[in-house]
Amino acid sequence: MADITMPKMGFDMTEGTIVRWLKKVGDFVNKGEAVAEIETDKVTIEIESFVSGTLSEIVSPAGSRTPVGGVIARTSDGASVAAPAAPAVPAAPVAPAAPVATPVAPVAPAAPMATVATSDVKASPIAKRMAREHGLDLGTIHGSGPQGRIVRDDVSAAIAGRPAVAASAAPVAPAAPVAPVAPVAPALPSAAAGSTVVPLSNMRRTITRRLTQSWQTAPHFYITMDVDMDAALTLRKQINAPLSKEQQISINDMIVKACAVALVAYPNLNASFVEEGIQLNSAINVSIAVALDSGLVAPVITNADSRSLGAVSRESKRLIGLARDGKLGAENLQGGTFTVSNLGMYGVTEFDAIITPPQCAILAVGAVRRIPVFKGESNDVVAANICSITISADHRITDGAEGAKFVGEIKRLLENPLSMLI
Amino acid sequence: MPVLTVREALQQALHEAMADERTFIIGEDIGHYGSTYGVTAGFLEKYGPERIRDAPIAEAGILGVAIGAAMAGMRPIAEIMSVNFSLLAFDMIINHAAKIYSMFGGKFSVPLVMRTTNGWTQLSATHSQSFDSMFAHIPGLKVVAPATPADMKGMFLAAMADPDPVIFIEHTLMYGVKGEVPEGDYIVPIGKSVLAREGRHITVVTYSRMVHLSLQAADILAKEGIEVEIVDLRTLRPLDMSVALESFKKTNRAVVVTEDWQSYGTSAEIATRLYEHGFDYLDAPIQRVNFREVPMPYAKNLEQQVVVTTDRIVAAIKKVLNRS
Repeated sequence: MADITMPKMGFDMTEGTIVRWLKKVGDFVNKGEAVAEIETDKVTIEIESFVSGTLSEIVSPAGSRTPVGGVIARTSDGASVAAPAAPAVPAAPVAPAAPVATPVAPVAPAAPMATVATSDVKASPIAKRMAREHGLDLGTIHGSGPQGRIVRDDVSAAIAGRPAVAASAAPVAPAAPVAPVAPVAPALPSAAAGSTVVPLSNMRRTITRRLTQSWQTAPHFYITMDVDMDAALTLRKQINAPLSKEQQISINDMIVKACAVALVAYPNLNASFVEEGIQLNSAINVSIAVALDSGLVAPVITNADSRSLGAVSRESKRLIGLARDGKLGAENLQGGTFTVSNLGMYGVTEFDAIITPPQCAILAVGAVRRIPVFKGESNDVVAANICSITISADHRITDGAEGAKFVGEIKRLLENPLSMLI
Repeated sequence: MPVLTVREALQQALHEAMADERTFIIGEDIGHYGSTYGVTAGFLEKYGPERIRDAPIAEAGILGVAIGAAMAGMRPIAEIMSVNFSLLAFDMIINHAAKIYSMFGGKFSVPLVMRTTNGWTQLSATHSQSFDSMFAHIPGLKVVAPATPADMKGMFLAAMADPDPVIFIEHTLMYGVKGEVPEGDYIVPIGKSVLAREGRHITVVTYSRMVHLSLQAADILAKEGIEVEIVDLRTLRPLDMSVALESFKKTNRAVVVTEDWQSYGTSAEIATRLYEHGFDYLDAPIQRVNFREVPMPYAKNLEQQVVVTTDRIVAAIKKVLNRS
């Protein structure tokens, strides 16, 4: 008898969702073979068995969540398996990880009906696909086909009638145990007026959980500064002149590089608030927020301070490409110590971002605007390219004066861009 | 547009084909007798014995002559009176007609058309068979089996224009089927399926005579509010599943109706393609309606138990729809 446990796939991962089981009870599983798909922070991964044996029990059905280290399945005739060790990333245990060896009871989904694993339900392929696309749990749908098979029309009816179902009976999707969010259900207006409830995708649920945690635990403060981008734009033009379109350096690449260089001098802004105190992270890993149709991801440019501007740009392009293709792995999403979020392309003047836990700060970047400014001793009015940048920082770690100096350093680097190339 | 029987449409097509001086017809009883089903009646008188050649009972010889003539630049039409007799010519068809183009490096093509018929009605076990899947199994052949008079004519002329050997499958029970047929020389391309009837509840994929039985079944079911969409494949090789898949993605349910045995038959290929390319759209297992798997009995009451009937198509559709 051996246990398969929820692996720790990222330094801030506390629990994982079983998306689906790839093996069923009674299947023989070879060591290294994928047994289930799990979803962690913004990424879906296959987990492999670390032992050979017959799958004798599925403890955590599809759709349920299990803390890191918790038993998700058992195998017979194999040795006990612990979850693989977390990859070497800056350790920042925001929430205490469950002891790996202790069999922790899986977090049961709130709705008892939802414990029916989707794979055990008899449903036609199109019914399964429609349920998947609409985030419905097949275990909650009545099947009208032969031998109770769930067919297309059953799912159509469930989609059409969902508000009524949600209001009266158990929630359709397993309710997320998001810690201190106010209960939503009682506040909902009656489902009568044709309103529909779109269940949270796993990405949406992750965003909900993490940003709610950030908003409720990290006291945010904000500092905005205008940066004169003329020099940066001129330098960018010079750098890009001989480069092909695919190799061009973006303004965002320069801002990421400036942040990385500034963070070297301001370690508090590259820190994490942990129970024991303030953890000064050894690496400077800059997350870049990438908007997707389905939500938001923030892949990480590792060691951004020691990469050249060109290397930052190349890595950024690679990660954005992976994000758009839905191919980001856990390794691309973990270990960020600071985030840059840029809404300049939408014409935003300036905005305030929410800190990504367990980071200390996030820089919100607006559009580069061409506006008149006073320049020089004669106070000539000239055209300048101005970009407003706003830092959101965790007041538990740093204060306004340090935050202002940090933003000033970013401003100085961008206004004297050669200094960040040396 | 004139309304013709399948027989008349084929006669028109054959006359159009004979306008090409390279064309001749060879087969058993096609000249003096005017062919078993009357399709070449009057042809001997009109075109003479050089071009309308009565052959001895020697199917391999008929195909062999046609293959050699085609390689030499003629446009032969080989008639095999019943598909059951084609077994005697299988080596010619499969090892020669289908292979020559590729085995001679493309230097020779074999532009022949082999006309033959499926069918039954108390013809007993050896004369009531269908070998559609055996022909359609072979790369190098094209296999067509039209259902309507218009398609019979248009696809026959397409077969005549085709550079490869084409097996043109008719049906003994269809020569009297009527329909509108365009006049003159016109072509219905090989390898293009078509909707025979629109509906939204279930897709029937079929070809040849089974199109007509499926249309009858659809009429019966329409009275119960079931709207059946029917896809006429028309060509078995190359098999065009685009219309069937488009329909299946709309209805999510399918019945495949073919007049041959189920095991390893054409319906197996058709259903598999639906599963392969339409899996995520599937709402119920696909049903097949075919001959029962026995040698065809002679006795009429037993024969009726083996062949495909409208009732069996209706029952299969209701089963897929989970209706009783």
